[in-house]
Amino acid sequence: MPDDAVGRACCPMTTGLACVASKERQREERERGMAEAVHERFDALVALLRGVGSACIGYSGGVDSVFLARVAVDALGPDRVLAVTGLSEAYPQVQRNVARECAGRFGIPHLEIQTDELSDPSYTANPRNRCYHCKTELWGKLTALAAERGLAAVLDGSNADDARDVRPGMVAARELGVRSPLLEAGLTKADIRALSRELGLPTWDQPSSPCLSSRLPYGLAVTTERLRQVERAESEVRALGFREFRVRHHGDAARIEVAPADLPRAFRSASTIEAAVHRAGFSRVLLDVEGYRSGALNEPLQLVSLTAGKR
Amino acid sequence: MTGRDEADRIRAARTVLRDAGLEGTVEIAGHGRDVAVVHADETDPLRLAALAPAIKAAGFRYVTIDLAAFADRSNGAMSPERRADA
Repeated sequence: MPDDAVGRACCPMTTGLACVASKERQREERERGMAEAVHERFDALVALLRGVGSACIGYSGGVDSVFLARVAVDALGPDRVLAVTGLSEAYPQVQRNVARECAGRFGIPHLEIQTDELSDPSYTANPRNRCYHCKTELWGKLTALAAERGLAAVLDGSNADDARDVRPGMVAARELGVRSPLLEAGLTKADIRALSRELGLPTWDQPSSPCLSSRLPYGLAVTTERLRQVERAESEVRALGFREFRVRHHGDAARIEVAPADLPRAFRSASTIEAAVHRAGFSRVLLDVEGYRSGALNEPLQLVSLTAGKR
Repeated sequence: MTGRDEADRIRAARTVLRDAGLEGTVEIAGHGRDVAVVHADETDPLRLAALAPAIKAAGFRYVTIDLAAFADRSNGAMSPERRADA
């Protein structure tokens, strides 16, 4: 029930502070109910993991996979879990550091393997289903590894929100029999962040961090050099104190998206940012005036009749 | 990309700026020729962000400023010569 509706319902009989207290109580009850629902989904996740028995987990060091690996170790024991990170030029070093740190700190058995998606022309051509080709490589290797180690299932960190998007990577996962326990338990990203915080995971408020290839618009070939340019530029911008941002590769130009709240600071630091990103090998540095949007490279082109606007 | 002449897209985007009371130019950049680069004497990010939807409607995916040019203009705007002219 929206707050204003609550207010209208209580106001005929109560006024002022009494009305505020009533609204506050209803808000608390609503939040308590939501928290209970989240914990029910968490319990469902634990039950599901126990049912699986043992697991090889795709482990990127992101919010979802760190949470999944941590819960799996608790539910199954460390000898029945292996968290595997696929290393390639598209995987950011900063993410690798998080993956290693969390594995060490929380007793998650961790293995790094090399993946080779950049030798696949279907991937480097950077089509709209690029993720399908990458995940086919990753999950293929993890499926073989799980069989070799006697682990019953391969799991990924897809969550309930991911099911609302078109995700070619999830198609590859399904084709190879990979399961998504977070999604199956109905846990959303917000649930996972809240539960990660309760578990003391440092990733609970970590910005999402897809692979570096996601910074290239579809059709612009994925090359090692371009990925290094993006990684270096993002490292430079991060060093300036920006936390949620992307450097998008547009050929000779970099287009930077910072969190909308950081736009005034980015405007004030224009020359510093320009110099930093220029050092990464971009001849031109552009700042997006709308700021960071998840999936901005998937935004459709908007076209309206220009005749009305012509003078 | 759009089937529309780039000059038309630039003209339409400049009209957006002019209607908002800004003097400036717009150029096209990017691998997909879908990035508008706005050159205008406007230092308020909120104001530029507010104009972005109308500029995008002229046939762009993204609306940007060029940081090097912006820094030059900002420094110029604060220079003694510029202040004296004003």
